Amino acid sequence: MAQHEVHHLGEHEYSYWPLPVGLGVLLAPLTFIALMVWQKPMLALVFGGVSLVLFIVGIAGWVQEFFSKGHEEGLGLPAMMFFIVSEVVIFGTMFAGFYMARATHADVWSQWVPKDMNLTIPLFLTFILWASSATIAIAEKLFEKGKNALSALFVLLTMVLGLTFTVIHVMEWLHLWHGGFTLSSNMYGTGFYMLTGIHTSHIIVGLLTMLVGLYLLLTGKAGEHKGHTYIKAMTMYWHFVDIMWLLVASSAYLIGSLA
Amino acid sequence: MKEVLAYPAQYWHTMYEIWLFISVVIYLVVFLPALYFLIRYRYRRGVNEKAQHVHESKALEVLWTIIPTIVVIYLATQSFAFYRIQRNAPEGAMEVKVTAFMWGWEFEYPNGKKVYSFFNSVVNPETNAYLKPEEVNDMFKAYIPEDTPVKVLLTSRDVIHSFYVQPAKVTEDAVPGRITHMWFQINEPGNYWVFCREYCGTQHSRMAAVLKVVPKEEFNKWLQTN
Amino acid sequence: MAAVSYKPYFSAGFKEWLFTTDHKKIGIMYGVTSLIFFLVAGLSALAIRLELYQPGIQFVSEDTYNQALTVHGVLMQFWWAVAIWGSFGNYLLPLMIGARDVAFPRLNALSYWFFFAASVLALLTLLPGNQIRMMWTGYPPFSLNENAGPVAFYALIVHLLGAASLASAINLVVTNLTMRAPGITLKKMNLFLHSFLAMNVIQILGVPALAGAVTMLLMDKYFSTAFFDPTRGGDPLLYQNLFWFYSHPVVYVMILPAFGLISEMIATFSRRELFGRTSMIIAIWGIAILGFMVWIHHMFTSGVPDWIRVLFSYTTVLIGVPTGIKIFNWIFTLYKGSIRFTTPMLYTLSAIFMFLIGGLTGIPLGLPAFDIAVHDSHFVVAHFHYVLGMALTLAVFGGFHYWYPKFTGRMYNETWAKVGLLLVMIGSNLFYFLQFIVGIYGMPRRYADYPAIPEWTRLHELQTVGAFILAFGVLVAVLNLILSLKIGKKAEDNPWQSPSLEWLIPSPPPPHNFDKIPHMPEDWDPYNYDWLEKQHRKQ
Ligand code: HEA
Ligand code: HEA
Ligand code: CUA
Ligand SMILES: [Cu+2]
Repeated sequence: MAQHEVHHLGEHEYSYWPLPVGLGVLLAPLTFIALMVWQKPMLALVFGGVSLVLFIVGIAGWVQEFFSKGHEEGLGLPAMMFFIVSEVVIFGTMFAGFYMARATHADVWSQWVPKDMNLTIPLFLTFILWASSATIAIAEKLFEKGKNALSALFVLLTMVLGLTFTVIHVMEWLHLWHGGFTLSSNMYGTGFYMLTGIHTSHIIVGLLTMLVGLYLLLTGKAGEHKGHTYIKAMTMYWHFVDIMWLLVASSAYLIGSLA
Repeated sequence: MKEVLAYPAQYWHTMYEIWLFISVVIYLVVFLPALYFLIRYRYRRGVNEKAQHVHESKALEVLWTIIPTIVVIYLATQSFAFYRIQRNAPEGAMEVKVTAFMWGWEFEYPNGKKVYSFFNSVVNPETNAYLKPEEVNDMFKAYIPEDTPVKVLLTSRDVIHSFYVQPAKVTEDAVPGRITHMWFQINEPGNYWVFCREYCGTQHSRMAAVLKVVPKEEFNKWLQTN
Repeated sequence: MAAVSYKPYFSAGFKEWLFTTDHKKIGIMYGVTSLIFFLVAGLSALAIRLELYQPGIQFVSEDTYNQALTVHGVLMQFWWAVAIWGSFGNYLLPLMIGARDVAFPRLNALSYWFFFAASVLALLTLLPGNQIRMMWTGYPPFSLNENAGPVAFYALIVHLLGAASLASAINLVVTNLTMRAPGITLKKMNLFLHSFLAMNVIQILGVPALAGAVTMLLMDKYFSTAFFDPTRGGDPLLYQNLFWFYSHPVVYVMILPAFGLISEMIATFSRRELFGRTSMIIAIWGIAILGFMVWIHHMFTSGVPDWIRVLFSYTTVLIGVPTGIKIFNWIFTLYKGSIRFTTPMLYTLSAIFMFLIGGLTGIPLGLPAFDIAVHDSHFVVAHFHYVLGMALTLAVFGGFHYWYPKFTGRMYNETWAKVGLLLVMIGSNLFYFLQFIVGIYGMPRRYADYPAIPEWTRLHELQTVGAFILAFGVLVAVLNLILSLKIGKKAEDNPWQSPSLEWLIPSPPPPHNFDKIPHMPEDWDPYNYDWLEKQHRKQ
């Protein structure tokens, strides 16, 4: 937006919103430290609360400002692409941990696989995510044709699918966990919960972005030039999360439970 | 036989000399022309006010790509050749198991005899200063037979440490959960330092041990006593 | 360009600074933070040097030493050697490509606040109870041990820094690729821009690996996962692999921009185009790519299989080839030039020759046959002080002087600047060169105490003397820069007569850089020094 904005000589560019977001982000690690290092739960609660408020206020103001000021040049898309590249590397570290253990402990691995592990649930989860990839692709197509309301419906459908995925997945975790297969059991447990956990956290972020997308579509803000990049980036991110699932599921479930 | 204090240090020395020679040559090859250019083409009013233009020279570019490539590949290959010897203990080496812990070493000899060396056994308890290796109590010293290759099998009980035999110029980490190896041979009786070279906390800088190298007969006698 | 009188970018009230999204102000904020932390890290280095002056424990306890060294390593690497490029990059990149700001100005401000948050956490670790003593490498299982202090600080600091670096890297890459003014083609980008591009790409690919590694630390320590616990199938070497997968390339994140600065300065003061510009650009990318394929050279003694060590020794030494290409091209840029020995030029030349020593001593470290004797000794420490403590720091200070008129509108004092450089060169060579020798004698690193071997003691004494001369030189250089803010002469807009775009606008730049987005003519080139004269003649 910087490039084409009309400026008056001598006027300084500023925005109120990055600072509160930044302070919110400063308080988040302090919350963790207050809880786990200083062992002061009350302090942690205060930090956490303030952090959340600052963060939400900051982001809301930011979004508001974004839609009320200046132009937008679609630079968000390449940025999202680079961001996804770095996300792939994050997942890569967890895969590295998982496969290093899988390879070096192939002999004892079978003892680590819990009896409750089965492949039907992940298969079902995969179908849900595939369906959601399709619905969001449809939503994007509809949006490009200017059918915002219909597009919003498909975004909503995607969200329902994503939510279903999350709920089923959490239930599955609880089941396994109570069966004695935990994060700290062994490297299978660690790898399993970390891979699927990080993936699900991405699902949740995706759902939040869709919430905003829904708002943009329904209020007509996505009709202008501006919301366009947002909807595209949101779709791109969701596809990334879906593709990642295939790798996560085939590692954590398939290769993990093959003894 | 006794021309070198310890094996496989001589390979390190040769590597060092090869590298030093090459490095000095490269440094001069860069520095001398640079010095000449700096003097010759310095700005002088009325004499050298404007630069002349030479964009590039394909021949030079090729030259300073190819030659360094050959040099570094030679260096890596030479290192490969030496490294095989430095890594692989000769046949019939005596095996000593070394287990590191915070902060000390446990040496276990083939017959099961164990020696412990702690961080405070290498310092003077009053002044807390390092002793000279020969001042350390013999009880805490790992005896090593003279002229005999020793293969060390390393592991750790807690965090990562590193076993550095100073005269032999070899280092290998002691990693919990795995067994690593190295070898050395010392040809001269005396007391030699071993240092922990992987940071391991407060007493890292005192996590040393002393190798007492003795003639073979003396070593065998020592090995049998408790 | 035009004869309108501008308010400089920094004439703004407190509120504008606090909430600014202007890339120049953010650049200055990065720079000031970075410099403050450099001084803190430098002072902790002096504490280290005092302790090493003599064998025994005299000035600080072992724990304090270990903490000081952790602080020194972390701050020097992340707050100085990496973050200082946040300053140069933010400030100069938009100016050089003819843009009014970066692609995402608000995100840019946020990335500074991430960095600020990390700085707050870093300062908190100086307080009792929060001290971390795990060295900048933070290897588990040690870092999970009580003795190391709360690893949470370390991990969360890395997370915050990572967020800052990623946001900033993505921002600058997108800016560089999409917002160049007409006429500034990829071919006509100067070497500064090319090296920042490569550096930011390395950040995007590398930072997440480190973030993943410290996340595992955090999980292992506070949620008892099994990543690094061999009894449950974990492996401490996993951390080392992930850590160095980023932390080797990060040394090129540090040095590539320094190369960029060197290229700018050496061309300007030889007054001719860079020799072999195309091959310089290829070399940058060669270094960036090869940089991701050498990380095992930090683990030659860690227990990885021997064939992997040998394989990585080849890739490691090969990186000397593209680096050498850069050095040779710089030298031949002097050829038939018209060389001016200004302060930035002297800094540049010093940086090149010190880098050469640092680089040539990196080569034997890449040879396992050599490294097994000096791994984790002061030889390694000397190697990276030549490349970081000298080449990088000299290039940064050269850059400070070179762009000082641009940043501030004033000139620094030439004499004091040269005195500072002279002291730095004397002190640091006395210090770092002897560090090589004591390393070859076997002195292990991270040792608060050492046995009273006479050669070691003598070398350590001289090193400490050198370190203090060096510190004094830094003091002179920094004071000169600070005092010149007030008493320096007013600078011209383009004191070095460079056609690079940042010099074609007033010094200091007006708040929005360019009235109109510039259209650069066909015959313009950032290194075409005749073009500028032609423009002058036209007027
Ligand atoms: C800016 C930072 C920087 C840079 C640029 C480099 C550059 C290089 N480094 Fe360095 N290094 C560090 C920072 C850096 N390093 C740090 C911080 C550590 C320690 C980390 C820790 O443990 O805390 C380290 C440690 C380190 C190690 C591990 C040592 C050990 O722990 O045992 C090794 C091993 O291979 C190594 C090698 C190299 C090599 C081969 C280069 C090459 O890139 C150098 C290439 C340059 C040249 C070779 C000179 C110019 C070339 C020519 C003139 C051409 C002709 C040359 C030949 C034919 C040889 N470095
Ligand atoms: C960019 C990187 C960088 C820079 C610039 C420096 C600069 C310096 N370093 Fe650092 N160093 C590292 C990166 C760097 N270092 C790293 C990564 C490690 C490894 C850490 C680890 O093992 O984990 C290390 C380790 C390290 C050691 C090894 C300790 C050990 O292993 O036991 C030593 C010891 O001599 C040392 C000393 C110094 C000194 C004296 C300077 C000097 O150049 C500093 C000069 C600057 C100042 C002094 C500050 C400014 C001056 C003033 C404020 C003036 C006023 C002061 C007076 C005159 C008294 N450093
Ligand atoms: Cu054990 Cu350092
Ligand atoms: Cu490296």
